[in-house]
Amino acid sequence: MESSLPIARDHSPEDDDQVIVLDILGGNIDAFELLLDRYQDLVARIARKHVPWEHVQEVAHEIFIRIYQSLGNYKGNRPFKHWLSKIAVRGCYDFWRDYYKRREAPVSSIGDEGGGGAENIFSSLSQENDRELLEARDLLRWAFGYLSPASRTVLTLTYLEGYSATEAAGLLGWSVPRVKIQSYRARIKLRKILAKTLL
Amino acid sequence: MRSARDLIEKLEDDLVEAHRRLEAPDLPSEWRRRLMQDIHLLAETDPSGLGIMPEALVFRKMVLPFAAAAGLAALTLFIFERTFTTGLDRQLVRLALSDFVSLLQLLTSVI
Repeated sequence: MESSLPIARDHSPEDDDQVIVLDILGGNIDAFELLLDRYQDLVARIARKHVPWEHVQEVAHEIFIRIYQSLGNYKGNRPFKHWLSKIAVRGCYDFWRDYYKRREAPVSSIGDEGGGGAENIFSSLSQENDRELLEARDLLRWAFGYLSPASRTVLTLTYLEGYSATEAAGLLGWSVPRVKIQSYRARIKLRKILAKTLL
Repeated sequence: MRSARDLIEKLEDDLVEAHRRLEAPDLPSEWRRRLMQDIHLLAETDPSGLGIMPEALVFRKMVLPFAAAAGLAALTLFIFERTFTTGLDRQLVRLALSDFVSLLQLLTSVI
C-alpha cells in the first residue's frame, strides 16, 4: 500500500542529514520521510536484535517518535546515524523496562518463539546446524527472560553484538565501569541459568 | 564425554551465532503511514515537540551563560583596576568597567 501522505520533494538524496533536520525543525514535517528512507532499516535491525519479532514494529514506531521529539537536541557535531542509534538502543531498553513492569509471566512464555522449554531444546542441539540455531534462538530468548532489562540490554550489546564496553556505554548513556560490571554480572547469571538447565 | 563447561561454551557459541543470524523484518508501508500520521498529529498538538526551545529553556541556555560571562569579566576588570593600574590606565579601566555595569543592568532589566 502506498503512502497517501505528501513526500518532501525539495531535498536531493545527497542532502546532509543535518540539512533535513533543520528543515523539519523549520516546520517541514514531511521531510521526516527522508530520514525514514535512510534509517528505518537500521532502526528495524537494531530493534530486532533486542526485542522479539512481534514487537519490532511497535518498538520501531516508538523510536521514531522519540527521534522526532528529540530533533531539537541534535547538535550536528557527530554523525546523525550514531545519534539515532543511541535513541534506538535506549528505546529497546525502555521497552523491556516497561514490559517487565507489566508482565506477570516470564518473558520466555510470550510469543511463538518462546515456547518449548530448555529440555527439548537441549535434546536436539547436536542435530542439523540450522535447526540447532533456531533452537538456540529459542533458548536465548528463554534464558534472557530471566535477566533484568539492564542486564539483557547490556549483554545483547557486549556479548551478542560484540560492542566494546566504551561503545556500549556510549549507546546506553552509561559510564564504562557500569557497563563492565553489569555485563560481567549478567554473563555470570546467564551461565548459571544455562548450567542449571544442562546439569 | 564432554564436560559441563564445554557444553556451556558450545551452547554460548550457538547463542551468539543464532543472534548474529537474526533478520530484521521489512517495515510495511502501512507502518510508515501510521508513523507519519502520528508525527503530523504531534506537530499539530505540540509544536514544542519539534525541538523549538521554549522560553524558559532559551533563558537557561543563552541568557544565563551570557550574564555569567559578563559578570565574570566585570569582576576581573574590577580586580585588575584595584591591583595593577594607576593614573590614566585606571581611568580607562574604570570606563570599561562602567560599561560592563551598564551592560549587566541592561541584562537584569531584560530578565
